[in-house]
Amino acid sequence: MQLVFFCPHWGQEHLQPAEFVARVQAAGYDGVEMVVSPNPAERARWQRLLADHHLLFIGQVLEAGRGKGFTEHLAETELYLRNATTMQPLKINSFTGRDYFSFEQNSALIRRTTEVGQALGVPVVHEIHRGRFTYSAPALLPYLAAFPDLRLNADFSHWCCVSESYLQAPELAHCVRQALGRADHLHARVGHPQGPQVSDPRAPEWDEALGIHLAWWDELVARHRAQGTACFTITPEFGPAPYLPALPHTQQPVADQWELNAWMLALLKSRYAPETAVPLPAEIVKKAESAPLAFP
Amino acid sequence: MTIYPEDLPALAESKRLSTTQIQEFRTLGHTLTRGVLSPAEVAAYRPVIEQAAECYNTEARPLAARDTYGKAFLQIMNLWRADERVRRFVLARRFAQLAADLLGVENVRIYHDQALFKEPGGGPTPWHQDQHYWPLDTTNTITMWMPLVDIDADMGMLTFASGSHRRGAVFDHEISDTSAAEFDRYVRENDFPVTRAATMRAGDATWHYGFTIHQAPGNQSTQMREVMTIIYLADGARVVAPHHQAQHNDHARWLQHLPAGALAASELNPLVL
Repeated sequence: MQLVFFCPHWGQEHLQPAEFVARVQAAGYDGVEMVVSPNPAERARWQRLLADHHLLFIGQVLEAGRGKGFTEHLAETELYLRNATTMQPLKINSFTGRDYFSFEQNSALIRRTTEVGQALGVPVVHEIHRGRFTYSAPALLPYLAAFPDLRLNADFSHWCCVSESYLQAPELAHCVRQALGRADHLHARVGHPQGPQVSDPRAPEWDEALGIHLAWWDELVARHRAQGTACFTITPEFGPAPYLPALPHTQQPVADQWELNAWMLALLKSRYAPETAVPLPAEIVKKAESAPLAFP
Repeated sequence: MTIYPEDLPALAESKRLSTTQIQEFRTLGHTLTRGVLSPAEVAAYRPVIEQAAECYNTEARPLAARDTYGKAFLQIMNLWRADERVRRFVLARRFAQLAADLLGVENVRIYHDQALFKEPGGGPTPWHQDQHYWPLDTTNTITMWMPLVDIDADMGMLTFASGSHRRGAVFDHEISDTSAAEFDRYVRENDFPVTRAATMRAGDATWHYGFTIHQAPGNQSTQMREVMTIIYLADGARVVAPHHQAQHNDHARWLQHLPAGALAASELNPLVL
């Protein structure tokens, strides 16, 4: 099984594209995960840049439905998926539906997404995310039952926050196992009962949170290895503030987002892909291992 | 018997590649496509390419008298410019469409072709990166490597360090005994998976990026390993100023001294699709 690691563009928007891509390549990522632009010229520019750096692409379909009602969301789904497809993504990560849409409305969106994805020949995963149809562990089960083809992006940090727990109750652990059976992509972010992202996963006070997430991810990777999946994708996905806690008044983030993801990349490569991964440059590994907290 | 270009199969586009295969290429830096040519198509083109390669080969030294590079193969380049029948092969839309699909572009240009005939007893081709030679502003480049005879691992099967394309240029080396030792260590120390097909039929093809580190073992059989290669670059690529002598040589020979910044579109670099 080939494990392929993606860098989120989220939080790096301030960088010129060429600078971002050079950083991604130098850091040892295999690709980029980012929101697909509605602008065709911008998509073409990114596509050429990524191809020239041999970076793979996962497209996030996020704008469809942003701040809109069900009717607009459904109407725009196909357009946004087609836009993503022009960038030849390995996968599309869809932020689908709303927690407050009815089961029937969310189901219509899932059905449309599946139809378009299959027609375009690109695998689509639905992200486990607060505010979406996937927002809560138990709320997801009826959709899994109704849609045997439904595939997920596992981001359990959101469920930690929504359930205000580490999902250890038997009923919630069952939901996690069901989701693991449908997950084809992993967002490796560490959440906790009081928020979707710990301040710094390297800090000892978050050992339990990190350990629990690693146990889920271990199982997910092991399942795909056992199934003979050809290529499994992981995006270390610590986000910028306000996901990343920041100090009051100055809004200084309490850690460096880039460093957090580089550390997670190094951890996961050493854990899951010591024998097959394109290894990280030595200086990145050292830096990730020894990086101090940004705020004492 | 004379073979005229128009008597040869046209090699029009065939079925498109699956998304899975395209993504495999981009992830690993190489892929294998089976049956790109049918046995009948191979049978038509093989004698033409053999004839042209024999006619234009300039290597006269016996194997023992050659350096590492010279022992690796007989290398005859841009046969398409010398022979209208080979031109039909090299400018075939079938190959170019596969190349464009793998690179993710609408069209590709020819960089050059290379007949690589590894003689019985011919030596290994050490690990190297083709892109090293190319003064281009893009690394979105690809080589089709097609045997014209059935081959197995003992006949000098092209061998890849999977995923090695992602690191860009590794050393500033042309193929030599020195580069062999350094690349060997690099590939080993970085734990790249080393991948090769066990067998290829005539008309199968492998594809690799310019930066994919690759090598070929020696030919331990008693049969000539006849391979035809075509190197393509993504349309829209531009020339950059050569960084070293090898690039100067390529700049002169394959890009006709186009100025830096110009489209890589000399008379020798036609669009194919």
